[in-house]
Amino acid sequence: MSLLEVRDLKVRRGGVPALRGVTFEVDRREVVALLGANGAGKTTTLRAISDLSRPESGEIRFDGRSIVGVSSTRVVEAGIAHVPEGSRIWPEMTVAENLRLGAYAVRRKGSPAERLDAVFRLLPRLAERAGQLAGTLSGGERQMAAIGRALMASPKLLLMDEPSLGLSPRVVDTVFDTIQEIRRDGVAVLLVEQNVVRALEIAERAYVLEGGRIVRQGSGEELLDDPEVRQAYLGRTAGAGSPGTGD
Amino acid sequence: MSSFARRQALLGLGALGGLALLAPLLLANPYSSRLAQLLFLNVLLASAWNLVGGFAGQISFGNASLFGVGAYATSMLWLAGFHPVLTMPAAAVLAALYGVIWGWPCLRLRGPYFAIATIGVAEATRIVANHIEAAGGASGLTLPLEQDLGPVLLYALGAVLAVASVLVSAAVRRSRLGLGLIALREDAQAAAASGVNVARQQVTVFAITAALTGLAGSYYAVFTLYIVPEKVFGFDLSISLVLMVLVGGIGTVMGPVLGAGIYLFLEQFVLASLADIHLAAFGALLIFIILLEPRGAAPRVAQFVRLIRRRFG
Repeated sequence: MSLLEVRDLKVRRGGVPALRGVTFEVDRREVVALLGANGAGKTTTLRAISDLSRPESGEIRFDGRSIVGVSSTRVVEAGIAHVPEGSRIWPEMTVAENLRLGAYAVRRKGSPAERLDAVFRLLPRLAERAGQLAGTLSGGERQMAAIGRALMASPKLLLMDEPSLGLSPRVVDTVFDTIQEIRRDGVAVLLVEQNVVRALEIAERAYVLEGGRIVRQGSGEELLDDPEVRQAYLGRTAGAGSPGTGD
Repeated sequence: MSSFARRQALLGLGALGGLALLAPLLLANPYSSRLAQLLFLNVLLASAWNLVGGFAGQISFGNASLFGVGAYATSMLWLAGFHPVLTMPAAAVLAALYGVIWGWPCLRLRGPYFAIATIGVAEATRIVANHIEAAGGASGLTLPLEQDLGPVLLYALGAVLAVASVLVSAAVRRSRLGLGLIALREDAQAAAASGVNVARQQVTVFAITAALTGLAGSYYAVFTLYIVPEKVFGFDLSISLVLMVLVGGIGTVMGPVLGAGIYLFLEQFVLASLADIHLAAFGALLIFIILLEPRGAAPRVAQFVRLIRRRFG
């Protein structure tokens, strides 16, 4: 049984179909990438899982139980944490307060102090900045704070929406290293990413969304070698490192 | 007891001590003791309003409905033979109950939609109260004058209520509830993604607001000894709370206290001569504040206090 199973998920946004029947799964301790152009439905998929938008039909099972229509608080309690696009930390609060908020829904899962230690071990920069207002952090540090905040909920699955967006190449490296460390700690990651090459390099498996449907799937390596994927997302020259067309 | 709780307890006792020292001055004549009562009432009301208006960012124009419930609860129980001070817990509980009943559905709305809904609820409450004959209808209730608690007891009661409301406000600000509310106010979506239970947090804080506002209504009944629906459920009252908090500094602990004082001062000494147009004058003041100092007086005062400390401390 997979950790996350999504079956025939349909979501409308403003009356227009955004997802037209999406099926995929994420196993335990696995990094799965969700790729696709702007408006393909990647963010919508993550939001449907977190209950930030309601599906029209379809099934989402987590740990064997249906989580469709379950409140976002319960979703976090069940073990799914969301790192939203653009980090979305609270700039007027300290880093420590931001992290405290990540543990908001999971009061019963062990002591917050222990989780905070674990987050600081993984992201030592946050420990240095704990008392600082989050608005004073650099872009990379903000992203780390958002990741740390999500990890405070002790998730089994981390949803990450464009974690490398707008970051310098060196900081992007750090973010991807962090994702791999998170997986090593036993957390599965569902990754939406515009940096297709980097995403496919670390993902066990990946799905390509187009117009609200999954049009391709395979292991990270397979998709990296797929001529159509290369053409669509890496440009004809198929050189490494050219930017994708994600949102 | 945590160091925060100890510090708050000390500050609270200090404030009460200070108010006790000021008592001979403020109790010098009936007018000054009435001013003190009004100040305590305003502090209590503004602090209560700020919990949901400032921390949760949900602007209520309907707190008079809660105030009125508290005022009527105390009045009717008093007339039924209970000691007025003993009716206060009942007033708080009934107002909290009423607040939860209408806050539950209304708090699902946000921003201007919530604000408009609160006006509707409060106006409906006022109109219904005007027609309940058992509660005196539109002519209200007169309380037993001969059982007046006297200025000293009223002063002490008001001081305790006002200081308690500020301590509650400081505790909420620091609590898990307060953190969740501010997160919600600043970015509702990120809060939901972090698992902050939007509906429950807001209803919880609104129940606290309602209980304190009910206590204020109760205190008002006890010192004025005469209540009518047009006054205790009145729209003017609801508006005045919004003004106090905006003038003092919304979303801060001391802002409502400052605002309550500024409002009372303007109402008694400056606007008294303008009589009927005093709300218009207040509207002008509000526009002035929002344009020039949208965060209210509290940040400026804090700055001033820091400056004084640096110079002399």
